[in-house]
Amino acid sequence: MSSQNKITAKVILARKPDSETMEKIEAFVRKRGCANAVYEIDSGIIGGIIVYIGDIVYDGSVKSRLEKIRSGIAD
Amino acid sequence: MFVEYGGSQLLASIGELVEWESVVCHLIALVILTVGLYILLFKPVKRMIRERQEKIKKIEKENSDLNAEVKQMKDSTSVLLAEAKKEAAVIHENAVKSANQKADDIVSGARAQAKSLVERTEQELDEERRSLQSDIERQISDVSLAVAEKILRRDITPEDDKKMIADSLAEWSKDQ
Repeated sequence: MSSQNKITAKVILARKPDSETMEKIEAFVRKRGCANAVYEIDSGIIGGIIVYIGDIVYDGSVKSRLEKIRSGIAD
Repeated sequence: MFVEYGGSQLLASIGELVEWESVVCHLIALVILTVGLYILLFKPVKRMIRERQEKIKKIEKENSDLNAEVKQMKDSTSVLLAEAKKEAAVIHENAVKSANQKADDIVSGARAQAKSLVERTEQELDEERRSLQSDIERQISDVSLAVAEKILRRDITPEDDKKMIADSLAEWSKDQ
């Protein structure tokens, strides 16, 4: 077992996922060397998903997309 | 009577009437008187007159010298006056030039200051306008995004969310 397998991925979602989505998420995190994933429900992200694996953040939330649009308008 | 007596008789008559010694005495007295008068009166008076004339000449000379001096002073004064007038004219001209220069400087300074003030005010107005525009744009974007967020919160269905999650995972896997 490599040292990466000890890492637990943190997954944030806007609502509770169904089993199909959970499978896809776990497959994704396993490919990145994580043993398992913990889920957190935060309606503040509106929709989409945020995955934390160690120092790496995968942000596909609606909230972050809106923030990108906001900063694009401000620039 | 002369005709009757004739010349010789006339002389004889005068001889009888006048004593020659007396005449001589009178002549001597006349000479002495004349000499005395000449010595005692004429010479002093003549000397006095000469002294007076010398004095008058001296006074006249002094007067003439004074007149010459006065004339010289007058000429000198005229020259000084002319120089003073010339100098005054130069001073006046310089003062006018200096005053004009100063007035020009003041006017140009005021113009520059006014121009700078106008430019600064325009710049401040531009900055204010830009800031206001930026504020308005930010407020519009904030409101638009708040509205969008509200709509998305309301309209995103579980299926939409599921699709978004699947798309994100697929995209991240592709990037790997």
